[in-house]
Formats: sequence, structure tokens, C-alpha cells
Amino acid sequence: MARGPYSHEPARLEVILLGMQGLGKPGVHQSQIAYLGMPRNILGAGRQYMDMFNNLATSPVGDRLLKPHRGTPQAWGKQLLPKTLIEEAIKKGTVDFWGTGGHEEPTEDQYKKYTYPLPKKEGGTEIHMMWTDTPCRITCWGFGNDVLETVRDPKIECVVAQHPWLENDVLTADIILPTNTTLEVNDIMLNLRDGDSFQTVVLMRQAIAPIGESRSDYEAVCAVAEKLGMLGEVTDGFSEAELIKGVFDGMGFDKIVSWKEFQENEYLVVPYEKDWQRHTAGWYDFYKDPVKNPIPTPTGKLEFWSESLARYFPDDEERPPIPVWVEKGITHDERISSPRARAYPLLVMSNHGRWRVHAQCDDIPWTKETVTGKIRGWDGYWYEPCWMHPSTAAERGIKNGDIVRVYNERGSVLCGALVWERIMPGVLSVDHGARADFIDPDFTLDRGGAINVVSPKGLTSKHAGGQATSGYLAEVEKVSMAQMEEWREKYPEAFAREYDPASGLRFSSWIQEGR
Amino acid sequence: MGKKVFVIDVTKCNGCHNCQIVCKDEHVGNDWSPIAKPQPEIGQFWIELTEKVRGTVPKVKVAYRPHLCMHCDKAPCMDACPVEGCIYKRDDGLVIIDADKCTGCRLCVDACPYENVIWFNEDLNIAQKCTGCAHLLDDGWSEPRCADACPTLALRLMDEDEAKALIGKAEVWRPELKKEVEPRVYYIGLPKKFIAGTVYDPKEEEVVIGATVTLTAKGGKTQTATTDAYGDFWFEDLKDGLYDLEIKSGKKVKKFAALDTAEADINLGDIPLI
Repeated sequence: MARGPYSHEPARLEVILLGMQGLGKPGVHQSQIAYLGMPRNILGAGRQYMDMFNNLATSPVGDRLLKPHRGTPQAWGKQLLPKTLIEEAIKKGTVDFWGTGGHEEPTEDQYKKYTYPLPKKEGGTEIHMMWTDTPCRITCWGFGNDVLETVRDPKIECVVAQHPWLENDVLTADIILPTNTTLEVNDIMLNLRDGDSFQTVVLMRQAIAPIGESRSDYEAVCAVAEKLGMLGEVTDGFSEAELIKGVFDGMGFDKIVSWKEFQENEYLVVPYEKDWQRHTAGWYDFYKDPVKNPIPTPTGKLEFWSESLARYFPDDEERPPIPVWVEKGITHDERISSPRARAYPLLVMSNHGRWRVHAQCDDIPWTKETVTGKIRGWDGYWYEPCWMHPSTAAERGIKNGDIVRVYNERGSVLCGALVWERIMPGVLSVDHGARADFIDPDFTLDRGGAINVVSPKGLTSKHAGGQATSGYLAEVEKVSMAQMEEWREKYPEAFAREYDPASGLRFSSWIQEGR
Repeated sequence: MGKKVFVIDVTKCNGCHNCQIVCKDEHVGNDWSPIAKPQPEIGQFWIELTEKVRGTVPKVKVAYRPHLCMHCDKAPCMDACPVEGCIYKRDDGLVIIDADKCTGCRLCVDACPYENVIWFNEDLNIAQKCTGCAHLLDDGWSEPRCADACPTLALRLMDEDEAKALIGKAEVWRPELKKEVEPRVYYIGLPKKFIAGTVYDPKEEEVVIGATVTLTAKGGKTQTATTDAYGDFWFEDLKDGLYDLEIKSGKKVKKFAALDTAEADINLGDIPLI
């Protein structure tokens, strides 16, 4: 239910359920384990882990490093634009939004209205150029077709992309800087906010030499900076090695282990607090004494009726002060009660791919050949699985293993039918992140299974800037041999691309001339 | 070393696929002749994590089972192989196809009664299968890559003596073949069938919580369950056969006769109790 139309409402309703059960009493808690891990470590429990980043910010290398990490609003300031509104902003020339959409902004930022672009006298301007780092918006964000269409708008004079692989969004770039994978660089990696129970710091040694002309992101950006006479400004005079050590020092790891020892071991496990048991579990303190231990809301209590929303968005029917199920609203029309459901009666559920991380690792043979990895089509192509219930399939004459077309007004995506009881009737499940492989030059028919190409665009709701890429209407039909033959005849180039079933499209699949 | 057996407790298998993938890591692109030549990049599964879907929405379970060569004591592949000493059984019980001696006749592929155990490599013109990572065991490893990578200890290669108690409560895959081939792979917890359902009161439009459900097997043995907060009940690990089922809540009774689990797990669906 997350990342779908109006998905903030089910999330808020879950909080209300916790309230009804007595938040904080033994067995009734909510915790963000993905970032904080367990148990408490010596660098910080609760929100103290942010102190580490604050410490880094004040260290010599901090500004240099945190700018790209900490999210645009704090790093660059002034003119901002959430990722979910890029297409709207470019096409319409101006857009209003609430909350920057930045990852770790305070809640209060959501109530603030922003306008793109800022007035000229404040230094505002429309976007003319895009520089993108490891992009996968066409397969991981909303309405991928629109992403591709908008990037070709005459307003966008130049697109620069830096990425290790020639795939997805990179195919629309004017200039491509081939960058390294983590295996080709020396680096320091912090697993502090990534779901590890025991948080770790790892020194990564370059495992292989960079392939071809690829360079590290840092080197690539510095090379451009040098041409522009901005090298000093970009590096602040720090070398790569100095930055790596700077992270170590700036975050206080030298209090746990010496730099020398860290270099020898190449990893450090952040020790847990010796007296971690003194911390009360979850929201227990709130439960025992809510006055002394308030929740960070205006009233200090778990609010069934949100005081903030009542104050700032009293008439917002898509995210009202008390959460509701939103069947129909101005932002989305994706419920099965919609008139659109006559043509598109099924709901697409789209989750994080089991064998991928977003768009990464879609080309690994050993995971692709698992049962849930890819479906081998009768034409030799390995298709992204589309799970469906036997009854949904039978209604459409679809059998397990068939090549199918999942579609709505936004376009079509070809998938392989995975027909079984592991999904309820009326739902199609296609995970996001598959590598796009368009058959037609207008980007309306994708063979790679990049389902987000047909997902809703834009926001979760009018005032909530998240994406809505799961829980939307579509239909599915079997692709006949005749239909496939028709496409082959109409778009021979698409079917002539070099393709290795085990790993998918190759670099050469997209190259017309040159090496 | 003494004789080894594979002991696989599927109740601990969560379907992670580590076994399937590390086997490829060990053998794809690596030549361990004469124990094994490189496995092709894709297409062979010397160990395969099989997934069996049981039941129907919403009473669905997925059974995970690693499937590999059974390293039979009376291996039909050994009997079928025309090349002397090409397929042999080691002292530790593992059955090996000598990668240097194999002539590619495929008789072993046909002879093996199990599915997806012996694979034919067209490029190298040899038959290939699980070796139990014999080359590693000979190098001091105590278990093959698959068992080493199993995070839940579901999959283990054990000394036959130490595993006696476990073998006692285990079963083999395709038990009808046991006498004929004598496999060395033992499974604990292979799921049998379930009978499940949801009980509701159509007048109140509510599920019925706390109803008593009694299941009677053909021989007369009974077991009971109570419907939970969702009105659900489950009877699991049932042998194939005919069962009678009775649901009781207060004065309301509903009966099902001769439910046959031989074909498949049974989801009785939403059951109105009036």
C-alpha cells in the first residue's frame, strides 16, 4: 500500500489502530528498524544517529561530502523541485507544491508552499539542462513514458548522465559519463541507516581496475569541473583519500578504533551500548507518562484528528485531518469503482523486486533463472513476471508462461504470465525496476517489463509529494504469435538488438556507430 | 571419512535460494576435473530450490524443497554407464561422474529415475550433476557450498552415524524408489496435506470465533481445532485419505463428509454456519 495513490491514508490508519490498541503498552509499538537497527549502539539510539551526520557537517570535509548526501533542500537551497514533479514543471513551466519532498525534512516543511520557478529577481529560472546520476526514473518512478517524453522537450537543451551501465534513462542523455561500480573504486561505506542490525563501517578496496574509460563519480565530476575552471570549488582541495579519512574522522569513528586498525581490518562493527537494556522499549515511556514523554505532535499525543492538517489543509479531501479511505479524488482515479475500470478492471500491485534493488541487478543470470526471476517466453526472450490468479488468467485465455501485454491509456508493457494461487483474483503483480527495452520509437510499448512506464504520474495526493506507483488500474491480454510477428515487421530494429537471455540487453544493443 | 548423508529439514527452509546460487558460484566457470568440469552459465541446476504452491486463495502455503542428486547406494546411473569407472561411488557415499572419462552417451540421464538431477552439457558433451563438492571435501571442507551457505541450517551434509536419529524421523523423496535405489538424501518435515476454511455467520455478517472443528480420519482417529479471530481453522500435516469434518458453535452444526486429500490440499472456503 505504500507508494500508491493516497497511500498516506492507510499508513495513518495503521497509526490509529496502534492508538486503539494502546500505543506503547507491551506488544504495541511502531519502530523504524530499517534505519536505526537494533540494539542500541554507542553512536546513537533514537534520532541520535543524526548527530553523527551533524558532526560530520562541522568537520573539514563535511560540507564537501554532505552536499550530495543530505538532500537538495539543505545542500543547495533556493529553487527546489520534488522529483515527482519534474515532468509537470518542465511541461507547464511553473508548478506549486507543498513540502520539498526532501528525504529528511522536518514534518513542518510539508505545510510550506513552494513555487517553481522562483521569481527571476530571486535567481529563479526554468530548467534548461539536466545532469543525472545513476538514473532509473522511467522504471522506478511514476509514468515512465512521460519521463521519456518530457526529456525530449525543446526546453531541455542538454541532458548529461553519469552511470555504469547504458540502460534506462541514460539512453536519453546527450552526454554520458561512464562511471564506476563500487568494485572499481576505493571508498568508505557506511551501513548506518540501511537496515543492518549491527551497524558497520567498511573500507572498500578497489577490487578490479576500472573497465574501459569509466571513472569514479568523483573523478568524472572533477574532470568536468576542471574544464569549467571550478575544480577547486568542487574538491575544496581534498583528494579522494583525504575524503575517505575525513569521513572516518568526521563521524567520530576514531573514538572506537584507530585509523590504522581500521585500515588493517577494513571493517568496523559499531559496538552496542553496554547498558542498552536501560532503554525502555518502543513507546513505553509515552505509555507510562504521556505528559512527561510526549509524541512530537502539536498536542504531544497520538492524534486521531491531526491538528496540523486541520490547521494547514482543512479542506483537503485527499488527506483530511482524520484519515479516510479515498475512493475518488482530484489527483488520482485508480479505484475499481472508476469508469476507467470498465476498460482497465485490474489493479497493478508493484513492489520492490525480490531479485533486484530498484533497477540494479536486473541482469544477473543466476537470479533471473529462478522461478520468480524471469519468465522464458516462447520467443526466447526472458520476460518480467506478471503474477496473476488462475481465474484472472482463465477469463482472458492466458496460461502460465504466456507472453502478455499489461496496459492502460499510458502505454503497454510486455511481461510473462506467472499464473498461480499466490495472488488474489483481480490483481496483477509486476515489480518495478526491470530494464526497459522499447519496441516502438515513441516509447509506448516496452518489452523489458518496466511497469512504471504505465504507472500514474506525480504525487501521492495534492499536498503530499510522494510517488504513486502501486495500486492502479490496468488490463492484461495474451500476446499472440501473430501480434508479435506484426511488431517484428513494424519495428525490426527493436528485435535486432543484441540480446543475451541470461543477462539481457548488451551495451552493443544501443550502439549504432563507433566502438 | 565415513559415509555421509544429506539431511534437509524443510521446516527450516525459507526459500532464500542461497544453495542454488552458491552452487553456481562454485561450478560456473571453474574446472574441478576430474570431479567436475565447469557448469554452464545457465540451464543446469545441480541443486534446485523448488517451490510448490499448495491450496487456493486465501488458504495458500508455499513449500520450499532443495532438490539435488540423491547419491544413491544402488545408483541406476552407475549401472547404466558403459564406461568402466566413469560413474563411481566414493567411500563417503557421494556418486561422481568422472568428467574426463565421460563420453557423452547420455545413458545415465535416461537411467536416473529422479527429475532434474543429471544434466547434459552440449558444449562439453558430458553428463553433469551434483558432486557434493567432493573436490572441497577432499580439500578439508566439512560440507559442500550449498550447506555452507544455508543460513538456517536446513540443509546439511552429515556423518551417517551422527545423523541416525534424524534419519529415523525423516523420509526420502519419491519413497516408492527407496528400495530400488537407496538414496542418501533425507528430508525432515515434508508437508503433507491441509484442510482449512473460514466459518462465518451470514445473518450477523461476522466470522465465527471459537467454533469447535472436529476432523475424523477414516480409521476413526479425531483431532479438533478452534476457529481463530478471523474465523479460520487449519488442520495440517494430514496423510492422504478420506476425512469427515464437523463444525459446531452453540447449537449450530455443519458437516462435510468424505473430504479427499489425495489430490490436493483442501480449502473449504467461506463456510456459512446457520
